Amino acid sequence: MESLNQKQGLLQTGTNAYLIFKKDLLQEFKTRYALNAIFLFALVTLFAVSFAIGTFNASSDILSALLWIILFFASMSGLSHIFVREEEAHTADTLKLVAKPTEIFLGKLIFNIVLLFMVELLVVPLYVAIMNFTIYHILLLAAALLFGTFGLAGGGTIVAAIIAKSNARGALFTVLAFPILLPVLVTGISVTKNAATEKLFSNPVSELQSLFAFAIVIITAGILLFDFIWNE
Amino acid sequence: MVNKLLKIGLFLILSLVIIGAFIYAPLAKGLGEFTRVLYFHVPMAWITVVAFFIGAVYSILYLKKKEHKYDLYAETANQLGFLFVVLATVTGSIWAKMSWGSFWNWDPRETSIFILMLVYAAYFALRSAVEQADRRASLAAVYDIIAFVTVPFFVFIVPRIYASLHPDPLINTQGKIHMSPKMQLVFFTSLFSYTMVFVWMLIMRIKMIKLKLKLKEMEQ
Amino acid sequence: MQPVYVVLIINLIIWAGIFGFMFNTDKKISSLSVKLERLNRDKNI
Repeated sequence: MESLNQKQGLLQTGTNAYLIFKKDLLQEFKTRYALNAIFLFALVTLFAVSFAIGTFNASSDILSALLWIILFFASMSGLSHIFVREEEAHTADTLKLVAKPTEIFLGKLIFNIVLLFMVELLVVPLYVAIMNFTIYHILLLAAALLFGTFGLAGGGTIVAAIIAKSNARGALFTVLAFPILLPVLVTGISVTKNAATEKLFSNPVSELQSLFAFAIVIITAGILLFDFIWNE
Repeated sequence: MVNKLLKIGLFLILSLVIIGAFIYAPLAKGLGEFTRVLYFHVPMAWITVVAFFIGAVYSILYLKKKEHKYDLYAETANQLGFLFVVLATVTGSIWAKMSWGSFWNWDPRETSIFILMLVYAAYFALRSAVEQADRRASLAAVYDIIAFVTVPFFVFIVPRIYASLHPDPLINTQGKIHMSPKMQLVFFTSLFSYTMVFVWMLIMRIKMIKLKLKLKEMEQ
Repeated sequence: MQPVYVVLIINLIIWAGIFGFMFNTDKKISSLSVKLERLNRDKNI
């Protein structure tokens, strides 16, 4: 009986998280604020970098570092929007009434993950094409992007929740998120370097494991701590 | 009285540690005179971890009990931790200059301690950006816990993946200590007495905070 | 004099300074807390 209740509770949480995700998605498609911000940021930096370096001059070390820097700062420009919007439109209180904090956090997290995936789907192939970046192990790069996105979105969502409650919203987000998400950046760059060399020069499994572990840790911490921020 | 004796005892012990580090302890092979910085650098790094840990514990306590004093304790522990992380960086940098040839060359250890400083600088930036006291307290507490959760990735995982020139930390995978007995004596006394200095500092700060809170209470 | 001894003496002086400062501060804090207690008591009476 008890396990049935638990199962029902879990189902309820999942459904509500999905509903919040759907609501955010609909709202996003009405204005396309975050998507535009991230995508244009990535595009502009990509073309600036390509213009400055030229097509054949950069080594794979530099190219893999630049790819992650572009993705990281592009996501920094849009991930915070999801909570700042609720605070600015004063819809946060209504949201508090209809859903539990965990459901809200999960919904917003899924939204951010999907948003980042959409951007990556557009930007990474473009980057590879424009910068003449040869990738030998495409699956490895895909795995790094997958786990890296979970880490970036997890950290970005919880920091976004923090800064939405503070007074200085714009400037603070990058300052707070950057040091926390640096392990993702460092390991992501290293795995990408690995994927761009014909013969793997280090064992990518341990790096992927650490990316995965980071994503799990930051998302768990986010779920546990979100209550305290949201009800503030 | 006992208090005073303890403090004077601490003064004597740490003076002995300093003298021991410079005169009594033998030098490690291949490192020459630079071994001596070990007796100061490792305690600083150790206290950094302890201080940030205490800060995280107070942050958790704040989120559980919502008492204003725990927020102030967490802040003060993190401030002390920041002081010691700067000291650890400076002593480590001196050692790096002597044995690796440059003050800063982005060894994984150096990178990780730099990020550690960035994280806690961001923590103080967050504190200064929120005006309402209770809101600042809970936001800072949450950020502190997230920061502390990610610290192991810098301190333990990143240096494991990338080859580092840094000698094995105190807690290494083999669980061995590569030191002669004389060095061990000075080293562990140093570790102990510096920790005591830190504890004294923390107690003093906490007393000050309590005084301030009491004063505020009386004014009302 | 060897450079080691010079550094040693500088170190000892710095430590003595830090200790003196901390000792003094501790004393001040104690006296302040005693004063505060007394004030509190007078107020209650």
